[in-house]
Amino acid sequence: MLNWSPLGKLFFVLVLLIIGLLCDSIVVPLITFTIGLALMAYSTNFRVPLILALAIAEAIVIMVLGSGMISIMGDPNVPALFEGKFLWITIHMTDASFQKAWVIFFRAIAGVTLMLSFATSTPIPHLAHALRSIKCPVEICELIVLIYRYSFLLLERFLVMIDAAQCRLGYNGTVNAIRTYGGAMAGTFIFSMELAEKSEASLACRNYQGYFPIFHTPSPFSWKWLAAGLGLCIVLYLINIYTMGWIDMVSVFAPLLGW
Amino acid sequence: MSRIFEMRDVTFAHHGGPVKVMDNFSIAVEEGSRTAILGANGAGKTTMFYTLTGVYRPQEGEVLFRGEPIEYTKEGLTKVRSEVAVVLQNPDEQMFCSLVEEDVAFGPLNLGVDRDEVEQRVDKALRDVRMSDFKKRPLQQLSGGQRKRVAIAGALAVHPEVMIMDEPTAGLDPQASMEVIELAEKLHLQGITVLISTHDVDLAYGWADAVNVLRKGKMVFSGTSEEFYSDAENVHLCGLLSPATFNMNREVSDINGISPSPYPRNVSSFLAKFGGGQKAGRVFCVSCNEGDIGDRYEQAVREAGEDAKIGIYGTDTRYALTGKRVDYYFDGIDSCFSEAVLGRDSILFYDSVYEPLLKEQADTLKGFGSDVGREVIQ
Repeated sequence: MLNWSPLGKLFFVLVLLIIGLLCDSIVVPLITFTIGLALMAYSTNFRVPLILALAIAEAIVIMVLGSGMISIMGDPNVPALFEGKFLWITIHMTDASFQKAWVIFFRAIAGVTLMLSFATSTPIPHLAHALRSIKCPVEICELIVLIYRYSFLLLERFLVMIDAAQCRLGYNGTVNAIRTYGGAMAGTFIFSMELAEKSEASLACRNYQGYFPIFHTPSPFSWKWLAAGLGLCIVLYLINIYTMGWIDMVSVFAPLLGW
Repeated sequence: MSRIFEMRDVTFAHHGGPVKVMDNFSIAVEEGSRTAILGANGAGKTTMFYTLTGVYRPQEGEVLFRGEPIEYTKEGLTKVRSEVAVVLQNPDEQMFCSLVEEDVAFGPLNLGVDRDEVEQRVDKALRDVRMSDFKKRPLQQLSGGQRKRVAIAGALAVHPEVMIMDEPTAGLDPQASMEVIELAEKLHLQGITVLISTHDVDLAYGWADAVNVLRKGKMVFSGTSEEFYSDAENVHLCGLLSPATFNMNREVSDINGISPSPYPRNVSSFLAKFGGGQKAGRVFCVSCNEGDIGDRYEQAVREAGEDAKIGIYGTDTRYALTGKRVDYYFDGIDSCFSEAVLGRDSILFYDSVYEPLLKEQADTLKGFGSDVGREVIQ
């Protein structure tokens, strides 16, 4: 997947995201979610890194909260599946709001997996190369590459500072801990300026000519990507029409929740 | 030898400020030489390297490359930098790509080298620094020593005529440091001019043909190591210490009531000078081309005897002898010749590129009165 066309991948992912948003059947976001998951697994050789798994888990928690909020804010004129009051919040969960919350949840999850599959399979220089090919200003492309590269170095530096502060009892007490984090952030910022100056000199030493060359050029965007994206778009739209109302989440959860 | 670099009365201050980082500074570097730049922290070593490569433009004076003043135009600077590669002290500062192979290819691609050629250069450079297995790895997954090697590979891939290494052994463990020095020696033997800045006086003493010493942005000494270290006050003012071998020679010569000259620069020379004059042993030399040893290990052990100590010089050979009995994994030339000076036979396995070093060492020892015999195992 690394050598696939970055623009093609981006187009494909965006098409899936948009069609997922346009369709009301829950089956479509479920399919796009499955495609995203499969692509992500493929792009990471079926070994999803822990940090990615944690990011996905965090996203799921946030989306569960968000969808939960949507599900409890149903139309007050419609009979409720569940209602009550929690603190100052009036809970009124309806058939429609519950179903809508699930659709939004799957759309969001699909979005995360699709974008992650793109991110894990597209090195930043490839993205910059793709952006250059669609006439994005070269300064912006180069800045993207530099920021990406230096964000790792600065993060590493920040972590070293955090560990060093721990050795010097920097976390004794809440105020002290806040001060330590603040100091580490300020230190990282100051270091970033020093690093920028040094990198200018070292780029010159390595004959930097104003753009980052790519060693293995990825495939260009072709009509196959266009056909695949549009074809899938049509198929998903048809699925949307024929599967409308197939899965009723209220019926699925009714035995469990006693509705 | 002709001068490859020359700086004449150079004065440089960052952003034209009042603090002169280089003050009326002059230096000449001979082509094909091994030059060490010594100086305390803040002496101006790194600034000097940046000025040599045209990164910094001096306010006064001129910088010459191959006898011609550097032109501070894109073409002029590209011309200089296509022949001069720099390895910075902190490898992170000079790595700009995500993967090892991409970073090594960065320099040659910037020079517009053909992609097939770049591919070959990347493979060779990574092989030279023993990082071929890490070709596809992201840079952030590498250790400090591995990053240093990748930085060196990036410089080698440019195919430079001059290699500048700023504190190449800083932050490296002793074995990695020795590998860097072996690599510097290899480059020198391939005709490349090598400049190394360092605080490690012992390393510089054993390696360099010439030393240039900086202090507060001024060149305070240029010449042989012995001349410099004989001036104890100057050494102290420059924030340096004398090398251990130099000090031992001075003291032992004093005890024996003899002149400190000639100066031994390594252990075998030291032993030859003070060892007692017994009949020298033999060094069984096994040259390995790209680590190809075949059955010569067993042959060498048979000929030299089971008791003979075994030394290695060169990364390819070291790799090829993994799992075999070895006594001196690093600096095998000095160790094996030391054995010979003490009258014992030894076996030396080395990368074929280092052949001239053996002759050089044997000649040096002859100058100290020890005629070490070399037996070549074919």
